[in-house]
Amino acid sequence: MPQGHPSRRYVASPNLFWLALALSPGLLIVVGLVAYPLGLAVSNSLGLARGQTATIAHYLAFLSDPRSYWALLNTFALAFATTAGAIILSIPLGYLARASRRFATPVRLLVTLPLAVPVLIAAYALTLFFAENGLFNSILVRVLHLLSEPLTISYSWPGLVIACIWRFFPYTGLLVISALGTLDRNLEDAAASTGANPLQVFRRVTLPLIAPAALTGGILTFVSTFGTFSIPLIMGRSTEVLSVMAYRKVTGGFDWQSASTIVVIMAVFQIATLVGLRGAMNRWVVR
Amino acid sequence: MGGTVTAVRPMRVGLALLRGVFLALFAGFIFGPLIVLALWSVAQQWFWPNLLPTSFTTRWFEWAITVPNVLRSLQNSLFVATLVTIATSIIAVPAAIAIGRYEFRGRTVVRWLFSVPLLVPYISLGIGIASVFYAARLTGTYAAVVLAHMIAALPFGVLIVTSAVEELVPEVDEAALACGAAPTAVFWKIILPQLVPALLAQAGYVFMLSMDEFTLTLLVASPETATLPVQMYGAMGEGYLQVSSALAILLLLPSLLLSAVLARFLRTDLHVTG
Repeated sequence: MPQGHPSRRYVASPNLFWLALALSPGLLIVVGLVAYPLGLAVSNSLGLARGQTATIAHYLAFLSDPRSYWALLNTFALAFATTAGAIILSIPLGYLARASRRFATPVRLLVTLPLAVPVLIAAYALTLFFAENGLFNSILVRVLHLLSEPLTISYSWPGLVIACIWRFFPYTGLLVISALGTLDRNLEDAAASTGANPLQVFRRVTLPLIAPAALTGGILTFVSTFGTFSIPLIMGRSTEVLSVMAYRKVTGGFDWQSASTIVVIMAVFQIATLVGLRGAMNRWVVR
Repeated sequence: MGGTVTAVRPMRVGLALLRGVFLALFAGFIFGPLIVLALWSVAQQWFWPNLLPTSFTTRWFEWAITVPNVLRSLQNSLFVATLVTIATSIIAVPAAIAIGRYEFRGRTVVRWLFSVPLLVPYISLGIGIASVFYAARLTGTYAAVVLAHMIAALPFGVLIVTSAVEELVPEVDEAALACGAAPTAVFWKIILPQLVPALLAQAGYVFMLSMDEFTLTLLVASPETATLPVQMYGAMGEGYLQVSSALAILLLLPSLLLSAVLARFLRTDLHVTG
């Protein structure tokens, strides 16, 4: 979160009454419609809603159900695969953007475009594009004759990863592209002129320099994918992730306790990921 | 000498070709799905061996604005988005001015509280409010939909206006006060006019966010109060490919347009939702 202008001077607090009046409606919403429901979800998941004593039975039930740890595993695997894919896709795009001014603008526009597409629509568009009888397969099979049979991508695990990359890689892409564009190329030239081959220059000089940007963007891509609901709802026919599982607990019989348990587990994992990665990054950047 | 030149040139050409091919493939990856969506929305017939639709029609868009329940979802979307934009502005602007301008105890905590909805997974917020609304028998009402959208919109509304308030120079209105202007006159004539671009950006962003919101709406709306994205999801589930594509295009075009306009005002990290 931005902490304001570094040289910013905040005016001393005026009348407390006006201040409270200005802040209270917003805080009321945040507390009443965000904090309270989340707290309620925690207490629901602990079985406190009916005035009983706290129990971790719902968590044990969650963990003893193979379906739920598969969903947990799927959720993490999807987030990691998407983040890795986003970083791998972003690096050549960054090289392309800095190669010449001619490429920089189209690359930047193309990378920004998915951000403007609502996630539900992105999920649907990718499902249609990668369908067995979709345009992607017709081009491969009918036009280029590269394959004799269409590929099954939509509704499969790779399809889910591809859709998440399409919609969530720009967070990583924009940062990596700007890091590659602004880094001091003399460092790379120095390494190359002292005998490093291009691969060594990349591994020893370029990669460490763009790693902070890749990780910061990667965290955003990771968190977006971890919590995404619309994409696996549309694309993940055979692959269940936690968000969709929680939704199905509600629609299939109003099982609020199980749904609450799942979303609390998700929130805890997401906050732990954010805190852990931020801590790791700070240590790493300081060193 | 001449030998090195001829050796370098094919490599140069090869590299340029490689770059061109990579850019083309990447453009295909980004545009492909959107092009397919646009084609389906106007396709009369599009069967497997054909690369493109064999005949075109605008029937699906006519459906989208004449079929009663689709039309109602469009009206719901516009109605809800308008209410959400107005209510969020009324709530976010004073809060943002308080946070962005004044020093007070708990300022950091308040600031942090407003970004809590961005820290937890979106579905957690959704299940949370859905269970509260369910218990309060609010599920399916317009109030539930509007309140759900406001949860999603408020952090962005506050963030956008706060950063604009922090850009203001306090010396300007201190000078006005020193010259004898009334505090209310300073607010209306000096502070507010400087915030107009940020307020418009905020309103535009919130309106778009409300129009596009799907997850929370799916959890709290009824068929009568469903918005366009929920209706689109329903059409997808029933296999009405062309109708859901047309609805998607109807949602997508304003989003793209507004994003292009807002891109000049907003930082990219404000886009994390869904």
